[in-house]
Amino acid sequence: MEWLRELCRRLGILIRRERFDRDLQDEMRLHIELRQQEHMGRGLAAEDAHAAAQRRFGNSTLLREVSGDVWGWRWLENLGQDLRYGARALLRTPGFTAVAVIALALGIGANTAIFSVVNAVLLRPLAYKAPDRLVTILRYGDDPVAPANYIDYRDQSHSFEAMAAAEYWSANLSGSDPAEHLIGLRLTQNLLPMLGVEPLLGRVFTAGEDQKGAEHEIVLSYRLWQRRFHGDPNLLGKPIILSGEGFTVIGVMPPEFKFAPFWATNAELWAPLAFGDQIHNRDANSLRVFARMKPGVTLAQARTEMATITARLERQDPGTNSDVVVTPLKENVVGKVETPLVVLLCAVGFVLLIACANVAHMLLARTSDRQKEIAVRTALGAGRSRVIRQFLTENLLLAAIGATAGLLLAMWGTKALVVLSPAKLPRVDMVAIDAPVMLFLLGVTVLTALVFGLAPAAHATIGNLTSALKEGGRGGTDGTHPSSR
Amino acid sequence: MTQRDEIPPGTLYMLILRTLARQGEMHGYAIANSIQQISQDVLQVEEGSLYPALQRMLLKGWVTAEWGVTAGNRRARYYRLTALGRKQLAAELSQYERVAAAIARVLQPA
Repeated sequence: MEWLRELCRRLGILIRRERFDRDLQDEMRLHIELRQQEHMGRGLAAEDAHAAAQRRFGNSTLLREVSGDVWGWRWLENLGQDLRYGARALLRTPGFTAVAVIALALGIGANTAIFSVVNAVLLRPLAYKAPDRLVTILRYGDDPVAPANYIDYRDQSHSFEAMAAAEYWSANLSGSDPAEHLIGLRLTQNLLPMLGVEPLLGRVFTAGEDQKGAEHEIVLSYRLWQRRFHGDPNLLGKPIILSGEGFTVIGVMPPEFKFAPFWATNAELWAPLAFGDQIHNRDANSLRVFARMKPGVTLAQARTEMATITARLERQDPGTNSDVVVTPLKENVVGKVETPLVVLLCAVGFVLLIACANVAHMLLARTSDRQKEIAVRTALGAGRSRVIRQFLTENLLLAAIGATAGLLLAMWGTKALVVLSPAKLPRVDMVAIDAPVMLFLLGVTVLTALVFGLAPAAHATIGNLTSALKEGGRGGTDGTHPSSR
Repeated sequence: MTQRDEIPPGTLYMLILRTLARQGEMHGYAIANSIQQISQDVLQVEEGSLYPALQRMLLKGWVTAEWGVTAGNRRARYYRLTALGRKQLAAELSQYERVAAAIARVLQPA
């Protein structure tokens, strides 16, 4: 805990930096004056006594700096100094600064915008509980299966904690407002619990409600509830008319809930699925099957087991169970857009690289103009690493300005992308500038600054000090261009 | 004039701690003088280096400082040992004694 207290003391010093420095100065001055008095007491003249006291004390400026080092904020002071200096240097060449900022803003902005889409579509996990264990069981990876087959998969497999099915459904909602055609899904009772989602209001289906005759209960999407029923909390338990049949509203799902994520994505109604006499049907392929693998079961194990089961069923009833594929749900959702998005990300990456190259070129030309300044700094005792750090700070400042402009561009750009994106792009409505995107932006900014700045900085510190000083003496900014040497 | 030796590196903290432990509250000038007098003018603190050392000790929490007024009515910063400083002094003393005894044994004529 002592280090924590020490940190607090350090921070205390940082906040009241000037006072600490003044205290130290006062204290040192007192010391020298007391020593001087002592010398004068022994008969020395005031001036000699002062000089003797100073001699014995040492270099008080240096000592003040050493004390400052003890406080441990030297790096921050250096950084502040470099930033101020860098800002002045950038303001001196407004044309260069503007062009560089625009180039970087375009590069960084495009990357951030595309990454925010990649992040929302590809990287973010599905909004269900433990989504990595969710799979789909579909023919050819895409197509539905028949009820009797689903029931055999469910009863014969051991790899899955739960297996559930969904069937496409649509209905006309009539009532006070004009009738509306709605997309819905009929779900086996265990599907929503398997996803691990809770309703916002009311409840979801309970066991037994997927029996024939008990299927007239309905769960609404948040959007539908708001749009058609104005978010009326008393809607629960009330009847609504769908395609002429009466349904009872039992629940409303939260706004972020979506099901299914890869097909029937705009479903707004969920009703129980009852098989009735369809239970022995092996030909009416109407069910999309979803399952949750048991913890510890691998995809390969689940696939092997399902292959065995479907091969057996196929032997019994040829043509009903060929090409049944177990696919991770996530892959079904984003698999088709993964490659195009990655290609797009690479493309904007190259745009940024080109922007970096352009800025680096301009910086290089500018560095040549600044040879004299560097020579002066070096002559006054700045180490090579110190000069490089000054340049890198300046470049980081430039990149940060570019990134800020780029972020604004990306905020506008993502909105445009969402509007312009094909309807098929899944989860595109979740695109947002969030924490991972900001981290990406930060990383890209630092990397950009390094890429476009390291070469000019290194170049700036190589070279002949004397000739740079002499050349500078003639005209100041007419230094020779590096490529002409 | 007696020959004055510089303080061996690393012992400055111990000397300051010991001086403060012996005399209670002191300002920097008094600490420097005290070390010199008690060592009978053999040890001379490189006077200025006292202050960076005191700054570090403040940070470590071995001493606290407070502004006060000297007998001559001058504003001065008075340092005082903390409990942590006492512990530090004890640790440094025992380490120093161990090392000194070991060196003495090595240097002893056979």
